[in-house]
Amino acid sequence: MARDLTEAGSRRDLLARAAALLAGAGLATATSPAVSAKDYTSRREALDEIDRLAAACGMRLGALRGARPGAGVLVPRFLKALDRHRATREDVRRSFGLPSGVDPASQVGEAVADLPGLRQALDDLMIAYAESLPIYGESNVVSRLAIDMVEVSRLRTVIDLWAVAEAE
Amino acid sequence: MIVLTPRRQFIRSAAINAGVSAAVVNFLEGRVAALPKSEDTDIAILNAALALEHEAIGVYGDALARNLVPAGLREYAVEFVGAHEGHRDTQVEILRERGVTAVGPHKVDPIRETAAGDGVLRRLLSIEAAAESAYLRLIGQIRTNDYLLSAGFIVVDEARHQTIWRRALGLSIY
Repeated sequence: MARDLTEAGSRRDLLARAAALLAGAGLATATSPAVSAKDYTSRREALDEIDRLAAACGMRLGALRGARPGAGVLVPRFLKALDRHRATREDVRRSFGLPSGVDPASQVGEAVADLPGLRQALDDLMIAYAESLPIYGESNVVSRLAIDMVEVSRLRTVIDLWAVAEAE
Repeated sequence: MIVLTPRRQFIRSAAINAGVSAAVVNFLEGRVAALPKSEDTDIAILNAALALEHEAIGVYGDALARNLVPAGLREYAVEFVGAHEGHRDTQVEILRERGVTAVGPHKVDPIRETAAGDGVLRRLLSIEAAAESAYLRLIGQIRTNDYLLSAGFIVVDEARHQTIWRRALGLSIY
């Protein structure tokens, strides 16, 4: 008889599996993000974390603008994508009766205009999206956020290619 | 009448080859709006996803064995087939945990081209695009947390693969 694993699969197994997938994607580090993965305890916590990480990506993109050839074309497109994702999250917050997320414009701090740092920031954002999916419990929300997560993966890959091109 | 795009036709063909349930095939084709959230649905989705992974592994394997991947891109193909094998193994393991035997690989149509070039890359891209599309369509229907988390990590992989092949083909990547 098939086992019902709604709550099952130990967290350790799950993280090992995620770590293997990250390794397959060339994302693993000595302390793979998945090994210290977050178990979100509420939708608000997950969305707050994603907002925070997205704002960090935005700041890094802002620092990159004007600092590198090619950034003038790509950065506005990337920022537009992050804005779109934020609007989706705000909509999700409304649907769950949660307060608005942090305004990225209110975030202050220094960001370095480097591609590896931006790539890491996008990695962190993408992983937070993936780790948050189980907490929402609504099919349409999972689908909408997964679409944005995939776009973040695409942005990250573009940054990879950009870094490779710069190194050549 | 629903007209199937080539991508949906590919997904349909892979799913049917693997004996995927009619309910999942209908969902992938947009004939039904949602699947019932149940253990049976999760298993049907796992088998559908597994069929896509078998297809990808088969086509990449064919391309690599016949040296059909253009020089300079072979490293990516090796990395990506490894990722698909990881996706396959993950989903086989999830099925095993549920006490279900996973579907085995099906016969994959060999690549028509006889020399490395864009035609081969387009075939590889079509698999990745189909896989991303299928996972994105199915992910909201997954009931169990462990599989949902795994599917999330898998679909971002597919997006990466697709972006690399689009770039290699000179297509827009962003």
